[in-house]
Amino acid sequence: MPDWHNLAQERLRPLGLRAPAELDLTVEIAQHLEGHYQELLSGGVAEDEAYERTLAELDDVYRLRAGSERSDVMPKRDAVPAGDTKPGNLMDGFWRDLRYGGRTLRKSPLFALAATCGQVNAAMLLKHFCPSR
Amino acid sequence: MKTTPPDHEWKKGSAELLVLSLLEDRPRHGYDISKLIRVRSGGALQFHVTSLYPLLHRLEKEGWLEARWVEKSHERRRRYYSLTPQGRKALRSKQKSWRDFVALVGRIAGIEHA
Repeated sequence: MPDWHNLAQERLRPLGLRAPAELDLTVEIAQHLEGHYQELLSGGVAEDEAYERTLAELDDVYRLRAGSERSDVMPKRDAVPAGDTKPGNLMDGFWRDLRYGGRTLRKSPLFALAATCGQVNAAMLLKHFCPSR
Repeated sequence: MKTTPPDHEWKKGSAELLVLSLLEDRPRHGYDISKLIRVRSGGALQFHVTSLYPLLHRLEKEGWLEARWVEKSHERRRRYYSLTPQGRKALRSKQKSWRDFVALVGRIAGIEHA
């Protein structure tokens, strides 16, 4: 009998789920795979084929990560990604942009300074050439 | 702006309806749910583990399902899912939406109800 718990554990580990979520999911998936394998065997499917067909259930294992809630997955970087377009009110968006700007400034102050100077120069040129605007 | 294809939304909605419906009468574990969907659809519908368990866990987090590890005599402990009152309400709402949708398609396509 294949060790379904071990097989499920190996497949789930790279997903980086939090320990309690990973443990629950591993046990549930291992039981599911074992049930499916036994069902195939009792339906007359050969052991090798039953094993392959059962294991194929885990082919697209990264869907587990995509389907997992954010709280189940260990965070890697910024909680607020650049260009985030989640719905919210105007002030939510403003604070989000401000936080993102602050982080960018911390990470590369020279770039942020150059970008700000560029914006000021562009505004001055616009004012010079199009004074009516 | 990110948009979700309507087809994806329908699949997601119908998957939720199927799972909630199967839990209406009694609690079931994941494998039982998956087997029932396969058997009752004559093999036409199948849930892989990689779709089923994230769905069950999401419905649990939404408060529609409650999950408990249950240990029965001569059996290993298993995680059983049951409907919460909120889940029952969501099921009623989804059943109504589905009926309305089917009736609407029937009217447009000229398909009479038996």
